[in-house]
Amino acid sequence: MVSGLAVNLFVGLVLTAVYTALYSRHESLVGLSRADALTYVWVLRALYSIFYVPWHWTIATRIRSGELAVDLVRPRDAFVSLFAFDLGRNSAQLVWTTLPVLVTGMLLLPLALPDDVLGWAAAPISFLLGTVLGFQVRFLQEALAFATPSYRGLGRLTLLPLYFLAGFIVPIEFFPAVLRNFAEATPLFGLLTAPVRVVQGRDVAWSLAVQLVWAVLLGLICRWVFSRGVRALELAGG
Amino acid sequence: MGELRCYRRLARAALRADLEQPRLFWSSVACSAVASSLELVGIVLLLRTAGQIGGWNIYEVIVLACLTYCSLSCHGAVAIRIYDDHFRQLVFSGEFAQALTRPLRPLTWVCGSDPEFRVVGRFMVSLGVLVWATSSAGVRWGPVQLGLVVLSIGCTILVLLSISLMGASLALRTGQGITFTEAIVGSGISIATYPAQIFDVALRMLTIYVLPLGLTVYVPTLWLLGKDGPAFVPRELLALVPVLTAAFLVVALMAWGKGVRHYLENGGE
Repeated sequence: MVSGLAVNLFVGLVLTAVYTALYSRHESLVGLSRADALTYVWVLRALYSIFYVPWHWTIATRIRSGELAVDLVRPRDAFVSLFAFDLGRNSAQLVWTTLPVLVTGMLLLPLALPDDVLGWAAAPISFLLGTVLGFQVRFLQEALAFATPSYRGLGRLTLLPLYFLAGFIVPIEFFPAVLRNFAEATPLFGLLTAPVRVVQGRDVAWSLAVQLVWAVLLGLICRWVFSRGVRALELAGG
Repeated sequence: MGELRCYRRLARAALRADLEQPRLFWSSVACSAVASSLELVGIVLLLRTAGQIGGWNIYEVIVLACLTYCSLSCHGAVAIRIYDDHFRQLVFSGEFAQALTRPLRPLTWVCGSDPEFRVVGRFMVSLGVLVWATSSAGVRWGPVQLGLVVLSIGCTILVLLSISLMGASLALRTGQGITFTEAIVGSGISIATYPAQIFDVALRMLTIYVLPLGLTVYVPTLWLLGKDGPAFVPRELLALVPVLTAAFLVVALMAWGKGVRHYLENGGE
């Protein structure tokens, strides 16, 4: 945990140097001020471990190994259990990783931060909704295991484009207009861009509403995919 | 020589095994190509708007990034098993003891038992873009330029390998250490991708003289592009590139040797 935290902080400092150098001759780029860009960097580092989780592919492995059968015979909803497991671990990450990284960024640098209580209250809600969306996106990737044993290759193939569109490599404001509009219209908007905007105090209500709508919609889709997958699942052995 | 022949045989067997699942293998190759492409697209998108960073234009930064990614992919191919979590599992499970009973050096066995061939996608993309970016940056290719690229990639691979060996030796002693390697490599790669002058002097000195990833990528690139370096990183440091790389590798090999001697099996069946 400590080394993970140290890496996040160090990479945060490296990215801070990169964005500071980018803004050395500009007051503003693509509508983002230097403070906005630095806020993006530190929210990105703070939320990185929420989305790039070490337990990615656990569900897919359980599906292919047949261990999912054990989840199905337990006296509780298997999908809800998987979701609760992910949310629990990620909530701990929010406390142990997100908070210290964000606080460090706030103390060291002039970030664009909320200037009222409502703004500060909206940030954790947005982070939590982002966490829920992160689980749902990962689940849909892992559900490929219901259909093919080559789920990992397909999943890897989709993973980076998804994270790119979510803004994990550069802020989506730097995208060409068509790509930016597309990225804003997908649930990936809620993973990182919406939390960044909420912290920056830009389009707070809209960002939260979009996250909520996508969380509900993707939740229903995940539920449907899970029931279809379980119905078609054939397990051998014992 | 015998070690190298064994390594080649192990690697060939691993490649045949990978090709037994062609869909998985080729999708993984495509994935590594996409990964490299997206990272480069990210740099292009940032610099397309800003125009420059630290006085370096878009093509010049792409050259730096491509040299870094080419080296990273070669390092991944050779040393992924001492770099990723697999090595920690080897140590935890006691399976590493097998390496000590074989008529091969443990390092050859660990690296040769499962090289990562899918990184060929990342390498090909990075190499292709490197050629395009150097030409766009006005570099005229000749034997000297080729030598600089080979020197940079070769030395960077060795530095990355050294870091992995140090992390692995830490894992042999403590059961941990892989996160350390990932942290150092990840941070080093982030720094090596951008011109050294954008970082403050302490960070610059650290990545040039202590953890020489900056040295092996940045200094040869200065010569390749005909540019001058910032304070404390003159282009004359080129002569130091192979020397510091060799010194770093020797230290890492000593650490690895000590780690192997210190290793105590954790059990077994």
